Amino acid sequence: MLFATGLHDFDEGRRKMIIDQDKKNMRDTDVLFALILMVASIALIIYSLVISFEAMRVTDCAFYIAPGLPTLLIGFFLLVSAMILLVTARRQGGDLRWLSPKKFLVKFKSKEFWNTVIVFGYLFLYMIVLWERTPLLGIHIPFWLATFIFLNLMMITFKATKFLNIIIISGITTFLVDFFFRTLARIPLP
Amino acid sequence: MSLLQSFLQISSDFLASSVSFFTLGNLVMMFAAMMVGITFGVLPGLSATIGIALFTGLTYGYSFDKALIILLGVYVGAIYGGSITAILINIPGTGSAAATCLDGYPLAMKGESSNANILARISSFIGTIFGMLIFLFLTPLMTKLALEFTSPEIFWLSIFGILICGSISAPDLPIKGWIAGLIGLLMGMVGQEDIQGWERLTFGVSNLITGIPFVPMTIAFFGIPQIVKSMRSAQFKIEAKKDRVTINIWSLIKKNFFNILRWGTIGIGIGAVPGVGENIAAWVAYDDAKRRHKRKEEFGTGVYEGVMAPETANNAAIGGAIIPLVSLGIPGSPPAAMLLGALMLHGIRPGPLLSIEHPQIIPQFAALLLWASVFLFICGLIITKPMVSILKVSQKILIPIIAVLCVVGVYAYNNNPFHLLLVFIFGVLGYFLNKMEYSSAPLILGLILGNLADSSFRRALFLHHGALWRLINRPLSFIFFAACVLTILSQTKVMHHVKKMFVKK
Repeated sequence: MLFATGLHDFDEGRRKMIIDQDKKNMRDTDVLFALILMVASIALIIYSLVISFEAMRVTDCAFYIAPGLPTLLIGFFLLVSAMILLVTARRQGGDLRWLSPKKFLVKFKSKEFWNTVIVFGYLFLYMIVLWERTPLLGIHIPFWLATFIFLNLMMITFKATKFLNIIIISGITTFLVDFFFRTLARIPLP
Repeated sequence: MSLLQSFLQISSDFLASSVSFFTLGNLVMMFAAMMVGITFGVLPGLSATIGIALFTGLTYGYSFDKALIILLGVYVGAIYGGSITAILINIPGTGSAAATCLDGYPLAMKGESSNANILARISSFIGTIFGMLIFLFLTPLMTKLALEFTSPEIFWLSIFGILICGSISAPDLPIKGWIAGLIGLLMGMVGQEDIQGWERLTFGVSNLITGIPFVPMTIAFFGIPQIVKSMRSAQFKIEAKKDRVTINIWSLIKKNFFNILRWGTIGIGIGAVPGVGENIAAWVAYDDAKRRHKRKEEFGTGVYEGVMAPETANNAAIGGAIIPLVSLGIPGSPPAAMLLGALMLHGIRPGPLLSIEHPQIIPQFAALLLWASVFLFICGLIITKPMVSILKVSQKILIPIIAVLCVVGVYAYNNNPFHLLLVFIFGVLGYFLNKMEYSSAPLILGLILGNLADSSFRRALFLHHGALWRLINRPLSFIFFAACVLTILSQTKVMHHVKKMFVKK
């Protein structure tokens, strides 16, 4: 009983440690994002002033109806919000030490990171080949073929089910999507 | 005509329209339209707006009565349908179901997907009926109120919607919700602006002159992060242990009877404001439910009222959105804007003269909404069970298929491959924002309302020669302004001190 309670406390402590680490990671990224946001909002403020003065010069309008006024205000509020975020994140222990090459390499090697890259990569390729002329290749790949290949690639890479099942599921899905959207709903597909 | 006489007249016209609907052809048509509408709502990216836009063209050859049955069926079905995927896979099929994700999905994760679905269906049903009744009897009064809205009111209401959405949807820090809302507002300002026709933030890309479209962005910020998250995670299969309804629905409805009335009223009131629509209605109702709940800290972990409130409000907003459409010719929401186009295509010009030129149209709209809500209930019953079974399918199979549907949804929007590129770029941004716990909902709301807020703000300043105080010198605009200030203060220590002071006294 004593042992069980001890184990429970150990689990609780470990869980709390993981939550604390997650929060620390979050605050670390908050610091970086706040800095990026501050730079972006300063750029936005400058851009807004430039287009406002340009519009005032060309159309002789007042500043309060210049096209840059709303974006200027957004830039200002984004800057203030980013500062608040930075202060909050710093107070809660956020810093930029995680950007050191050693720590960054650990994240770079993780399976989760590569899974994310793979999914984005497949999505990018799928969206690119649906253009009228596929960039670089300069050929037109039919929608059904692109969809069939995309589904197969995704399911095979992530080992969804048996190979034969993947082929069947991809084939049926491709046919149904093409039939329902192109034929029944008359939606023009790529 | 006295008030009682006009009430009796409207009631009898409504009854006559409801009875005349009852033919086999109309019933079959409404059933099919509702199934299509729910499917459009369920599929991420294919919203009520796209559904009505598509069917406006397809029903052009039909008589006005038949076309209206189909279009209203698709509209009501799609608004409800969005909740199904919001609950089951945490991707709102439509923007109006985004608030439903917050408690619907946690309920599904707890093995209560059937409970959440039936609550969403019943709430949608009640919301539609409530919206219909208010539309029928209070159209003249609401028209007067909506006429009071000028640029400052629309501006403050837009800001209030984004602020409230930001503060309630950010799980980590409220400031993150507001940052997301500001990014959305900024995205809404890309393209040619309304006042002077000046190009903003297009950086010479001609495809951006018309702005960043809302539908592809819904997929980019809701669909893509969910696809990537589901595929990269180790736990691919969702456990659906309990697949039956395990709660007493009627006692829950009885317990929340007055809340439902309030959420319905919120839905109608916000739906009636031109251009605002179902999305804000759902968020404001969710916030109301959270604030008034005894265990408000449990919201976001799977609270029944967190599903009931947005679903009642977004469906009630349909009735609300049709009020300014019919009486002023101004649509209350994007799908209502599509409906306006469809009405004009059939030679009907909505506006103050409509009830004189076509006296039957208000009761006819109301009767169709009544039938639509009945069919919503029936079709929801039929279609939800097969949808629940998708929980049992491995996400490794389901998610690639959803990715294909998302791409089709983007392309179907206006056949522009450039939007696919936009979706990818903003999908990457959406993924990182999601990872840093920035909610996508205020961002999308900001995108929808960005242009409206901008033009209302500068129009008001232009009319009052730049006098800022004129933005808050009318009672309604001051109320909305005060609501904005209170929303910000409620997230700061100032409000806690004020609260403490009152408690001490």
